[in-house]
Amino acid sequence: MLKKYDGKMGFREFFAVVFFAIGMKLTDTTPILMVELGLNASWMIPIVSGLVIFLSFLFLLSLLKLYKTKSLIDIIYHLTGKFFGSLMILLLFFMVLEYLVVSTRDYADILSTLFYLRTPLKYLLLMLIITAFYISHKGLDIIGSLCWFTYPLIQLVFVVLILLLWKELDFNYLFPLGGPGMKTILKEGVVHSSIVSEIILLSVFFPKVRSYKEYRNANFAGLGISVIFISIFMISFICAYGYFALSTLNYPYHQITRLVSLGRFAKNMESFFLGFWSIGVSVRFGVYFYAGATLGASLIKIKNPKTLLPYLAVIVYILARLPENFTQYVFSVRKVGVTILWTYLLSLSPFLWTVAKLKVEYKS
Amino acid sequence: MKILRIACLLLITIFLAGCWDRIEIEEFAFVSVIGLDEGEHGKVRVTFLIINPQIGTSTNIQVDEPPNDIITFLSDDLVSCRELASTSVARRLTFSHTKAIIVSEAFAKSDRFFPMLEATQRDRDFRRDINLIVCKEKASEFIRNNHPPFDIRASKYYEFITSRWEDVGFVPLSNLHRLSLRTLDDLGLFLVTYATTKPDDPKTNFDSEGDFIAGQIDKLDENPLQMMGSAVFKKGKMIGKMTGDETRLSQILRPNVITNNILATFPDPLNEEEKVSAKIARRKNKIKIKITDDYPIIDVTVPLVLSITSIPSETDYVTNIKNQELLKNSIQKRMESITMELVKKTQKEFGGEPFLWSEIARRKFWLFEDFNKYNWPEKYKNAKVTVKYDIRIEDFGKHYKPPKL
Repeated sequence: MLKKYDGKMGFREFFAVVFFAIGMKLTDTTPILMVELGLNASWMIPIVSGLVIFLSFLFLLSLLKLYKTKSLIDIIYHLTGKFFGSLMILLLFFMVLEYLVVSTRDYADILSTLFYLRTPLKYLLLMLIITAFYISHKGLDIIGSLCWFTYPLIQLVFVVLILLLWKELDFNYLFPLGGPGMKTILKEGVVHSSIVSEIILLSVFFPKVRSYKEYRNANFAGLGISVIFISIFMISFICAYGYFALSTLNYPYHQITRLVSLGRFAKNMESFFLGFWSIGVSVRFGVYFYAGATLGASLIKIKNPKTLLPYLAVIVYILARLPENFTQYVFSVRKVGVTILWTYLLSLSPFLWTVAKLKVEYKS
Repeated sequence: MKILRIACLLLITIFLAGCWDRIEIEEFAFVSVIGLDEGEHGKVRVTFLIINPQIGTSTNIQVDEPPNDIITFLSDDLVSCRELASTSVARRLTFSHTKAIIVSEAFAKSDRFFPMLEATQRDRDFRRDINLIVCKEKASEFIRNNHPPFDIRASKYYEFITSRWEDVGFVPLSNLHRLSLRTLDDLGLFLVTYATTKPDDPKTNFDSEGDFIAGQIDKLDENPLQMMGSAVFKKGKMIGKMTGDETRLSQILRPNVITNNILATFPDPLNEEEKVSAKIARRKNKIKIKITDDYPIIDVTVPLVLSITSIPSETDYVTNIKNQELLKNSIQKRMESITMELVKKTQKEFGGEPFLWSEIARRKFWLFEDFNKYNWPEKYKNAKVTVKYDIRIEDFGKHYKPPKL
């Protein structure tokens, strides 16, 4: 039976959105950020981060359940007032913007270093932003359907890659199992929790999801699958390269696609993986653009976030072109972003929950 | 509207061409083998073997061109000579289908070898699975001397020959990926395929079929190439050589089974002049390592399953159970003695282990730092190693009994 189309997302669409926003991170420089201190046990870091953010997210869920039709933005305004609310949302907006800028640059860099040597970076960046802009301009329901439509493809590609890689993996590299020690792992897990913090951000889309139950389940499933896959890929990076060689690499995912071959005749398979990867990346940035535009629109009181999209795209393009090389971005801005903003992201939902409690919004 | 949409779709196809990186396949020159030699004034002499894609394919275009072009340059490094090549090659050089890097022994022994390979890790054109071969003579001579009779396409030849390690085990699996892995880990030795095209004094008094290093095999062949044994690398530098047998043994002693079903001969316990040959299949080794402060205690049990292929002495090892036991014990003794010799050699001469036992040792530690502090390569030099073989003879081939003359 066909459901009547109501322009809203269901479980599977939102699940795919969460997966693209978080899970795709395993293909960029994020794993390298974790390896630095996590050593050969860094595959545990995403799991710790996932658990930490899960706890924080439970507070937010409780609020969303209470207010039924309000999104994260409305809840913030409702609980903290106009001034503080705007400040908090501005901070969230900057986080999305920062992430958009750094990752578009990061991904354009991957393309120009490994695949398109002669094509100017600015052009690759432009193409990435135009595709993402085009996708996000179609609206959230289309983004959702597109995510669900491409999700099986991307998931299959990830699984195929692991299977092809199997003979290259040496699981002894996971030992000594403790790595830098449990204390460091736990600390790094908390510090890097912003890696999986998208589920907090994405709750700006809460009213666009059909029901609270579907929203909750989609987030749990999306977060779970993403964390598992980031972890599995961290394990395969460590097992394929060993800690020392891995810490010297720039783009572990793309280098690993160059290691695999299907028998003797299908070699140089990286272009196969590149195709699917670029689909995933464009969809992912589409989600980000829309989230950024929604946050921005609420700040300057525009009804339709789509009007803000072109401006956002131009700003992202200009900012992404500023630094000389992407290492400056990843190891300065991104590192700061990852390691400082986590306090804000982690404490946001418990804070809102406490305010709600103090204001006696929960009626038993 | 419809026309506009179609026009848009057509416009999109422009991007499929690859933007600025668009190139006709004809404009590429595929370098399939790279040679590295020490050059004058601290430079490096690089040899490229560029294949002619028109030769040896299934298309029936008969062209009167040589199958490949070999050029040697004196250059600063590996990557910059790609530009130098354009002084005579009319195409853009690409390393994306390179199959092997040949390094002369002299260069491999110098400090400059490993840093020179850094370019292969950074430059996007190089793949990490390029095979590595060390040759006795100059690499430029090696590439020129090699004339495989069947494989006119050099890329195919190098691909096939470097994959022979899997069945034979006389040479190890050595590619750039593993070299960088083991060198950066710095826990033991790394073995690289050893080869030569300049055979000298053939060894006629050999112990077994693998008791050679490339160049010592007595062989009559149009193609002078011999690939046998391995070059031993430590900290990215060649420090010695191993015979084919030793290379095989090192692979047998490793925790993971990668070479299997190899053929080997053993002395006949009842007829000293004769040999018994057998196909060996290996099961998973039991490696027990006990860590003590001064040295590790390593106990290895290697289960081997033999399938006898020839008994030229015609002694009855098949139906005579006593003789069977005798044969088993003698094989076991021999394996144990040659293994211990090899272990001693690695401890004394090379000061490191090629058996990847460090992979088992690292399981004994909880923290990464502790394992690093333990300094496995140093401690291995004093390790107490015992190797036991668990020999089982599975079958005796097609003959039930030796024929009576």
